[in-house]
Amino acid sequence: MIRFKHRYCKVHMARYISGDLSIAARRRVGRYIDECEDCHREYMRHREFALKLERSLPTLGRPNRQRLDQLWTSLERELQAPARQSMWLSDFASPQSMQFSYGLVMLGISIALLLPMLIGFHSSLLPVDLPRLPQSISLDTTPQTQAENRPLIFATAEPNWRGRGPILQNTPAPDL
Amino acid sequence: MNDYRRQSHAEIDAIIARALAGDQAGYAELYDRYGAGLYRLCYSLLMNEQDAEDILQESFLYAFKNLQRFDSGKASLKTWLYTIAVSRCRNTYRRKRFLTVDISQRLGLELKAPPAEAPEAAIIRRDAEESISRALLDLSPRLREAIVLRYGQGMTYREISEVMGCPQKTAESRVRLGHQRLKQSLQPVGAGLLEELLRVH
Repeated sequence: MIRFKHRYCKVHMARYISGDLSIAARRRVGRYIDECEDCHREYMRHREFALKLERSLPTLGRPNRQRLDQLWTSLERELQAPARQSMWLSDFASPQSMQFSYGLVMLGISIALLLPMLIGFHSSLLPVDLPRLPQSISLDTTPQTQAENRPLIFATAEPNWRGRGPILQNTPAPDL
Repeated sequence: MNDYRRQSHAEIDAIIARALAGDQAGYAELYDRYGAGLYRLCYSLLMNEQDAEDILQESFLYAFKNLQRFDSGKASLKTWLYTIAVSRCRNTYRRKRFLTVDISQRLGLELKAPPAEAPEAAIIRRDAEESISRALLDLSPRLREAIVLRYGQGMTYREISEVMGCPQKTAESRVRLGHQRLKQSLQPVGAGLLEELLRVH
């Protein structure tokens, strides 16, 4: 139980300090901080560090007012500039787009050349009828035994009156 | 507090309406309100002035061009702007992979000391800033975002979750983890550095 409380306290410590806990949870954590010496120490350390972070981090990268004004001037200029027209043929003539278009064309040509090969179209590239291969002839003349010569017969009966499908004749009749 | 917030929302809605009607002063007012905060956010995430400025401009440009799409019923303008900036910062991490830090800044070539600041104080401030920057850079991008939004921007967990696009519980645990890691990495030099930074500012 104590371990659970300890863990609960640790997990909610940050929110307790920032005042983001519900009233019930806040009361629970506060009571435990008062009871447990370790938690109290941890709370003091945490609070001190959080306060320092809260006060020192906003000072990091504080902008220069003059620089911000310059940025606004250039932003304002961009906002007032007419909207750029959509991509059209003339855009593909720019050096960057030329490289891209060239790459696309090359890719298309490669696919067009390789596609028939990939989908098995190569068989139609050989329209000549090749002679058929000779059939293999068995030269085995050894007489076969009677059992081996006996044809295999699988007989089936007519579907029974219940329409359950065929029943093999050599299977025992179902109990009716 | 709620009245103040409602009043502030109404005020911002009015500025947005003015801007959408074509009043350039409306845009300027929005920039004045959020520009500095947004720059600090970008700088704290990227630790590079040039990148922070670029992202600030890109974010505002995008936001102003799409201002008609902003729905004040869904989020506050601040959260919306911060979401745009954070997503652009994420693209920059991905593109750069390894964040670069301004060498000129590190070498003190461009030390922006206040005019009245003594050289010693400037050195202390620079050391403190450098240690904190390094500790922040050591955090993973998500933890850094959570810490910067929480402590640098003073956002609530709900706002952090909206900006980061994650559940509130995740935002809370990221702040907690980031806090722990930051404490560990700043421990060797002690919280005294933070104190120094506070003292000189």
